[in-house]
This record gives sequence, C-alpha cells and structure tokens, in this order.
Amino acid sequence: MPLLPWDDRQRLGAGTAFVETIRLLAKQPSDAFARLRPDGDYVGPFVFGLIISWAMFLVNQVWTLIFGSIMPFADMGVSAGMTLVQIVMYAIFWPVIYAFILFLSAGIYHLVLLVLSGLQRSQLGFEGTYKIVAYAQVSTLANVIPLIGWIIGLVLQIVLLVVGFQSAHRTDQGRAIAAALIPAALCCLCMFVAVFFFGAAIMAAMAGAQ
Amino acid sequence: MLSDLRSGDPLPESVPTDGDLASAAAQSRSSVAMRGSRQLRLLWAATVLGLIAMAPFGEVFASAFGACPIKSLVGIPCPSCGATRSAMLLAELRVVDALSRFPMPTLGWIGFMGGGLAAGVWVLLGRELPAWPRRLPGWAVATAVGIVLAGWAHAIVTGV
Repeated sequence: MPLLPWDDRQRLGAGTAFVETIRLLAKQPSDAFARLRPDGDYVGPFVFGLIISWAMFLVNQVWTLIFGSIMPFADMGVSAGMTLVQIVMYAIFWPVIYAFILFLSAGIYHLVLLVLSGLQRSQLGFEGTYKIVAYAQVSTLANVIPLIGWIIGLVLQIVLLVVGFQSAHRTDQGRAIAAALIPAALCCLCMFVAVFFFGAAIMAAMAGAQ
Repeated sequence: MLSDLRSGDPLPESVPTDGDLASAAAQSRSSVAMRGSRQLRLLWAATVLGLIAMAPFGEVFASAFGACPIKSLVGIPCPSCGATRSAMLLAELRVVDALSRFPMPTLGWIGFMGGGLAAGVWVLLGRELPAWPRRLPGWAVATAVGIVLAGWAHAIVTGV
C-alpha cells in the first residue's frame, strides 16, 4: 500500500502532495485512510488541516461580507460578521484555535470510540483518530459554495469520519457511524428534548380544550 | 536470503539474523512511538501556551460569538454550553467562580490546559506519556457518561 501523498511530500513536493491528498480523499476516501501509518507524525496532518481551515475561515468572512444577514445563523450572532479587528485577531491566532479544535475533536471522537469498543483492532490508536479528524478537514472546502456550503461540508465530514474510522481503525460500520454522530447528537439531543416538551404541551392543551 | 545458506556454513557478518531483524523492527517501532509521543506533547504544550497568549484578548475573541444556536433555537442549553464564559472567567483567574457556574466546561478547560502544561514539562524531563487504552472498563464508561449527563443536567437546571 503506497503512502498518503501528504505523508510522501518530501519526494512529491508539498504542493503536489497537498492537491493529490485532497483528490484522493475526495475520490477514494477509504483508500486514503487505509494508507495511514503509525509513523508518529502529528505535525504533518496538523499543517494539512490548518491550511484548509485557515483558507476557509477567510472565505467565510468574504461570504459574510457579501451576503451579510442571510448567512446561516446570522440573527443569532454566530456568523453575523466580525469587526476588522476580530477578523485580524482570529486570522493571526488561527493556528492556535485550529490546534485546540483538532485536539478537542480528536479527543472526543477517540473517547467515544473507546466507549463503543471501536478500537480493539486498531493499530493506530489516538494517532489514527487525530489524523482522521485532521484529514477530514478537507470537507470544509465545500464552504467555497456560499450559503449552503457549510451544510454540505458537515455531511461530507460525517461521511469522511465514518469511512476513516472504518478504514484506519478497522472498526465496523455501526460503531463508526455511532462514533461520528454521537458528539453531534449530544448537542442536538436537547433539540429533541425540546420538541418532546413542545409536543407534550400541545397534547396537554388539546386535551384541555376537549 | 538466509534460506540460501547451507546448514553448517558460517553466517557472513553482513547478513543479519532473524533475531537482528526482529530487534531492528522493535527498535524502529519504539523510535516511531517516541517521536510521536514527543510531537504530541510539544504540540499540546504549544497549543496551551498559545491559548494563554490569547487570554488578554479574550473579549475580542468571545464577542464574535453570539448565544449558542441550540439554546437560541430550543431554549435548552447543550452539554457544552458555558464553555466560552468559563474560559473568560478562567482567563481572569476566577477559578472558583467558573467551577461553581459552569462545572463541566471548567473541568474540561482545567484538564486540557493542565495536561498541556504537564506534557510540556514531561518533554523537558524526557518522560513518556501514558498510552491510551484500547478498551475502557465498564466503570470508566459509566463514569464518562455520568459526568457528561451530570454536567448537562446542571446546565439545564441552572439555565446557564
């Protein structure tokens, strides 16, 4: 099995390796993740993810400038547009922010995989989860599509994580899907709880009206 | 290569034995593991130092976020609600205040920051990080799930 192009960047050249890795992750993600090796390289995947996330952060700012209030969640302030000072500060400190997000995400996914007993056949351990999360950053390239790119990226990311957990950690599909979805579901679970209470309130009101 | 030699022939000095190969492979695995462990600790420590460097500008970063979209939509806090405010309190070194108001996010922050600083010190001392287990015992799973649920229940009850 050949190396992932990004892991072979010294021979291929960084630019070619970067593009080839994106191409491989987009076309044959299973093949791409199966090429991961326990080589102790944490910096390489970090740099790969950082380049993409940095670029997409700036792309998002451009879309926010153009589309303003119609950007998703704009009324809730998440992407209501930053001041120039904030954009500059975020851009400067983006490597720190991305490193934190990468550690946090990899830690959470790895913990969920552990809880689900999804690592028993894995040869890569935490290094594998860290690399899968870093390379799955390629999904955020969908943000080049304004307005709907973020949701496409979100779906692609879940797909890449599932494929990555299956290929690199040799876990079964059920556990891979559960591990990719549980962290997101934990945040959305309160939405279901609210829907449940809302439904119960409507039912009670209907029962009272009869 | 070794099978080409007739029995009784002395092994040339340049031909490694099976034992030599196994030993070299084990050494290679060990050196890769050490390199990985060292990179991981250095990255973690650098991230923590970077976050500490960001602390004086915490207001600039935090004010870019509005309310949690989940809480805005449904009125119920998500399990990680309060993480930003907890970080702001910790940046002002108001640890007790942060722990009493946002216990789970604050414990998470303390664990991450403390772990990163410890990892940096361990690099300087030349020690190894403990490896992740491949499987968690039942009590550890129950504890992890219990901590998340307790933290979330606290957030819902207090309204965070």
